[in-house]
Amino acid sequence: MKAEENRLEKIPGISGKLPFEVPANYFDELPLRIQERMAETPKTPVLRIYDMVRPRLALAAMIIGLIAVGYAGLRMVLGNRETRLLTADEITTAIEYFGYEFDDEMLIAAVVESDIDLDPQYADNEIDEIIEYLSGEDIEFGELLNDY
Amino acid sequence: MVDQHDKELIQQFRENRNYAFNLIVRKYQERLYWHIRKLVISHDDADDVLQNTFIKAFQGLEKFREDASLFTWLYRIATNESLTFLKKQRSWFYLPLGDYQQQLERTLESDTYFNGDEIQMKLQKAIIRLPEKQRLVFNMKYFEEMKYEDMSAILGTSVGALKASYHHAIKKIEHYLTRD
Repeated sequence: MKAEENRLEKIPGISGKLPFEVPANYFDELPLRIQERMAETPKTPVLRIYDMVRPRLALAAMIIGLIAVGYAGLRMVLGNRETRLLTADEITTAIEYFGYEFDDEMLIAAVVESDIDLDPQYADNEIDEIIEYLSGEDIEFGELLNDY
Repeated sequence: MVDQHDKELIQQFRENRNYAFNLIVRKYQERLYWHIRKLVISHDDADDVLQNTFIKAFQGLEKFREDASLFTWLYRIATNESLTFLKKQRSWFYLPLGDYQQQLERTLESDTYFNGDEIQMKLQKAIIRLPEKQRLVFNMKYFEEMKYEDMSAILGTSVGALKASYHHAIKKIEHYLTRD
């Protein structure tokens, strides 16, 4: 079966002889020439672990560098603004400061803006108190309604 | 099947590299040379490719697994080196495949080491016009009379595909030879 498979299909009139030749003594001299070339060829260097991971390290360094440059650029654009939590002392100072500065207009504007839903149970009392306060402070109620 | 003599040569190579490799070169140089020569055509190119093949083999022989045949391994290196050489030549001159085949024909016509008659020249030109794989298969079968099983181990192609390649190659060559 194998012999049948390997049966050679030939082209009529053409032999399987190669029409080429080599220079005289070529095969006698070739081993020596190859030995000479092998002596000239530098040995393939052994690949160390550092050599193998070097490209990956370079890539990691490049990514870190890009992130650092991006972060620095962002900081420059945002003008070095820092966000941090205020301490209790700082909050007290701010409340005291704004407490003095907080006038009636600011108070009313703050109430309107904050959209506080007053409890109806206390609403009437509070309205009375507000009217009483406004009268005491000599604030024109109509003017107030026009403004707000 | 692993050749017993090759096994001994590989064993010797581990003890005395240069001496054993010299024996390997002497044993296989002619078969590899003709295999390469049929592909690259010119003697000078074949000489270069053959030397590169042996240098590669020398560098890789230490890692060579003894379950494979040394002959198959060397043939595979020689084939790869030849195909790489042809590819480089083609890209070096920016030649499309058809133009490169004409270039090979011109090399054949000017080859001082060609000693065939007119019909053999025509056969070589017909072989040059074949696709690379068919060329390889045709040369290995027609001139070297290599078994399909050995060719399969060297080229990594199934026996069926090799037989089909050879048959197509024969038909193309016959058509080329009889067309005028």
